[in-house]
Amino acid sequence: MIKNYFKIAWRNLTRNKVSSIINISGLAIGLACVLFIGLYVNDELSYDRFFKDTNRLYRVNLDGKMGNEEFLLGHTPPPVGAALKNNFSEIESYTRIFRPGNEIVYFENNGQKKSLTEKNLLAVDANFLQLLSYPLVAGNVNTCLNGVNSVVLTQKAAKKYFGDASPMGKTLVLDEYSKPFTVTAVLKDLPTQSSLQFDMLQSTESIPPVKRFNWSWVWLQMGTYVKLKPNVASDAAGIKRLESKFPAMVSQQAASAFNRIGQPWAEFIKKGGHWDLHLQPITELHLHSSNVGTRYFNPGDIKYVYIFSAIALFIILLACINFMNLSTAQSARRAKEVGIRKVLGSGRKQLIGQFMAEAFLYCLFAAVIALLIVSLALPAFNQLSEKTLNIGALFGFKAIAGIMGLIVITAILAGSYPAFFLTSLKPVSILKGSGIFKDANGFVMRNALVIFQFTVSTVLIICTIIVYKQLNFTQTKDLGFNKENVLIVENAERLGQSAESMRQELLRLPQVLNATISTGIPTQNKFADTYIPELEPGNTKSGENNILLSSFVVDEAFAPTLNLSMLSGRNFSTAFADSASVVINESAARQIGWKNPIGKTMTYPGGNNRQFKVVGVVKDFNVESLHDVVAPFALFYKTSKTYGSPTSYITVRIKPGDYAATIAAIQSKWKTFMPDNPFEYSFLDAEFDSLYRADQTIGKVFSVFTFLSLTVACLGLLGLAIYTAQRRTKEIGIRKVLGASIENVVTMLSKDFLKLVIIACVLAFPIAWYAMNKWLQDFAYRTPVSWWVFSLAAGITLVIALFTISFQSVKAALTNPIKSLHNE
Amino acid sequence: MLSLKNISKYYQAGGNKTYVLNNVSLDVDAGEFVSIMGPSGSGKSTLLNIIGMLDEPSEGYHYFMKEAVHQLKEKARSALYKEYIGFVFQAYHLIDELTVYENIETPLIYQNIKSSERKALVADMLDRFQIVGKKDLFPAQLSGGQQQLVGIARALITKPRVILADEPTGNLNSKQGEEIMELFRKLNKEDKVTIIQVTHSEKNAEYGTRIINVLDGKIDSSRNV
Ligand SMILES: Nc1ncnc2c1ncn2[C@@H]1O[C@H](COP(=O)(O)OP(=O)(O)OP(=O)(O)O)[C@@H](O)[C@H]1O
Ligand SMILES: [Mg+2]
Repeated sequence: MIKNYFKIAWRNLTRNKVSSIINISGLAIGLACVLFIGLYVNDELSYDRFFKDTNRLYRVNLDGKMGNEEFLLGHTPPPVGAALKNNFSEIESYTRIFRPGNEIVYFENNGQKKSLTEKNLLAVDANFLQLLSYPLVAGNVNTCLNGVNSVVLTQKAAKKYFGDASPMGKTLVLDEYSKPFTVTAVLKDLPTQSSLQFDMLQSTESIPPVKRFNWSWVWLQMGTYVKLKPNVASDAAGIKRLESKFPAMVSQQAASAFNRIGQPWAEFIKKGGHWDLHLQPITELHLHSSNVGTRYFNPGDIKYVYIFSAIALFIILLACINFMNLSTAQSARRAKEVGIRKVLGSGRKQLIGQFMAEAFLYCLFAAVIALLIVSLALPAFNQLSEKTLNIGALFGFKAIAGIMGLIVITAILAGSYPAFFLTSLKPVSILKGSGIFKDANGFVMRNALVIFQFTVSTVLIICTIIVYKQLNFTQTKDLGFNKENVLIVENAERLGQSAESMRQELLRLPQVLNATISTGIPTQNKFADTYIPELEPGNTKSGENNILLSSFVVDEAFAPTLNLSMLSGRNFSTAFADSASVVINESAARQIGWKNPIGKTMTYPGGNNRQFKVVGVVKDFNVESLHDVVAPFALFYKTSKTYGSPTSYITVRIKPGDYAATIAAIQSKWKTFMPDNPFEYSFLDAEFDSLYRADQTIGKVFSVFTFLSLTVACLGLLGLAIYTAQRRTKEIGIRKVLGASIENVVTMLSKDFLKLVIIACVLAFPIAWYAMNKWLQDFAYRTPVSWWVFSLAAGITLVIALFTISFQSVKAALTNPIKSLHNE
Repeated sequence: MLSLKNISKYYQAGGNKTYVLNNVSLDVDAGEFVSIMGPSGSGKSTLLNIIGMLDEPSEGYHYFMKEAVHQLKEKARSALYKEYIGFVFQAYHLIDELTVYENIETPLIYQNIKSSERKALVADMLDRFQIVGKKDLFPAQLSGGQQQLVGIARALITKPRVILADEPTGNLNSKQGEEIMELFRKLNKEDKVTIIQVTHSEKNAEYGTRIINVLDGKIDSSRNV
């Protein structure tokens, strides 16, 4: 019987070539999308699961409120780890991490002295690799990080420094340290599914600030991981109970540290402050911590896992709908077969079996093609999604079972409606007379499904347009300064006293329009602290009167170099003694409540209560991506010595044109000052662009899937159009004999479909509008969801649909009427 | 064998009922060969469909092999005709996707007959109707008369106890028609197969043991030959 099912199915498949091709290619595209997205989602879900005892590893998060400022961080003060372990038997061990700045590394390779900037350095406690078991290829996991002057390299880093020679026991000199570091172990290159990424490990013992702030409960720069005892980790309630014991411990341990910074604990609590520790499973760090601040890694977002899964589901659904539609469209023919089979003694179950076998056969073919597509297009998809997905992941036992399951589910989805619909027909209603059979229900159902397909496609088109519109907006919005043609020379702090001479040298270059030295630049290295502004007379604002201000320390050339615009007052100037001056932005003035800020003062409690007088107000400018609102911001003058910064930049405005020559000229200047130091530079517009990498990836992935869903929907429409034209050949012939023009016929055939597509567009509008408004919430500055986007999307959908249909309608209209009548 | 009691069939057309069959009662004994005649549109096919349980009457009682058909569920009904009835349609109703061979074979598949046995039976039937040469052709490649022969062969293959035939010779030439009638007579005489046929031909009707005349949905007359 089964064999018979497949024989008939095969016969149907080969006989109706057009609808088979449409069905199979649609299903193949759908399945390929599911496989791609499945690989992507599987990859996203497998972060940080490779450690030994992964389920016992937790990160300590800090949920704090101090003054007006609230934060949730993946960072803790340095003593937290030890305090947790000493006070709670549930905690087996802890380890901490710290991200030092970039280091220049001097080394010898093949007898040649060289230097490189290492940007991916991580300082860790000695037991780090025992808790987070990144696999070693050489060295001893228990001792490799013991010494102050030990480093552990990944294979990639070892190759970078020492080529193919064995790195074990070799030495590297790090810029900030006099004693060389010895390579004590080599790590296998980190899996891409590791949230933490680093190339070089050194011991926290060797980091001065970590030692200096060992007492502090407010220095929030360290990451702390703990390993729970096995019985605790397996019991969710136990973890909750453990967390509930933290506050008592914190108030006891942190009190003296809080006293020391002039914030007695009791008063801190009374003012509404809190300082709560929480445990978060390490396996959740990648997808469930986008709300937790950290500078150790860029977390993913579970939201995109959901969105992509939904898209995959919709595309496979669209392909299944094609199958349903084409099967039921052909039901006049199939119904006759069903009727005869019933009369010949077939039970309904057997008929359902037959239709399901057919659907299964189609899906099987489609799956083979889908696997082919995936294996060919995976490199392209990797590039698109910035992943390193491996086709091998599809051939594990689980994956194969999953694919089989997918085929079966798809077959059931695609085949069940035709199967149950057709087999429920009564034979006599089909076989009476000449076997002509009307299927009014099928007609309504088909129309509904076509509307659904085009609704989904149009929603995706609108979403894609808006994502791109927003990306374009991020690039063209007035940021309050001019980011084009700005080159940043990094590591300027290494120039020390000669930075200013270097700047003067640069100004002498014909390609350089201006240059400035600053501790930070937009996108990088702002420093935030609390200030107490003077109250304007008559302002009786009660309560806490602090303001959190981010700032750079700059020279007088900063504002002109970046083209900042002063709204009132003046820029810093060598003509004044500006060491006690500050320039603030509009937002700062607004938040403080100053109507006339010039001449007002603010006190800096973190800097010996020094006072600064406002000399100018600058128009708001974006220091961060457009995801964030412009925050209150200040510029201090270079002579103010308000706070020290380990980093500084020389920012150069250059003439557009031959960038390579300009870069070479600047580099040669750098080399005259710093012959041993690598020259590192970047462009400000590129730095800004890189803030939207994730958004750009989403945009690209979105547009590809939109294209595919539209393709699938159009394939279905094409199938229906072909079928309709076929069914109406005789009618068309008669009409033409009676004098209908080709246009009449084309209109007649296209009208009904276009009606469906228009309904779909109308349905798509509110859905897309809602979804995109939600997505745009992520941006503080957003492009308007304009009406033209909807018209454009509707236009695209209509044109593509019309093209698809008219192709077939015109063909039908052009057929010689005598021929078609004769054939009937 | 089968018995219809006060069977009516009507269609609702804009408020009033149009009767296709009006209070028809009919008994057919095992071994009878009944010919149904009547003008076009008089309800012959409808009557045959009801007898064959393909159609349900609007009113009345229907017994087949002592089973009350009007009380049976669809599944039980299909089991009944699967076991006892062979159908020959006015419009042939072959399955377009299947070859001649497969069309004839299909009822055997539904009776779970082994493949080797099926082969023998089908070969036998192809021989009997002299269509061996056509066995791999599809219905569309056959003439109307050839399709009718395949339809008859398909109805006979399961050796049914009852054959219901709706104008089985309508598309055959008179020689072929005679052969089919001879075959029916032989099946009726030798194998005791009950046959009910609808026909427009007086001559073919004479092959039967009883001729029933249908007029306007009523049995107008019935005479034994
Ligand atoms: N679905 C329906 N709705 C309304 N009337 C119907 C329907 N089906 C059949 N009829 C009517 O029932 C009547 C009997 O039809 P039937 O097919 O039984 O005639 P017949 O005697 O077999 O005719 P012929 O000799 O032409 O085959 C016809 O008048 C037909 O119009
Ligand atoms: Mg008839």
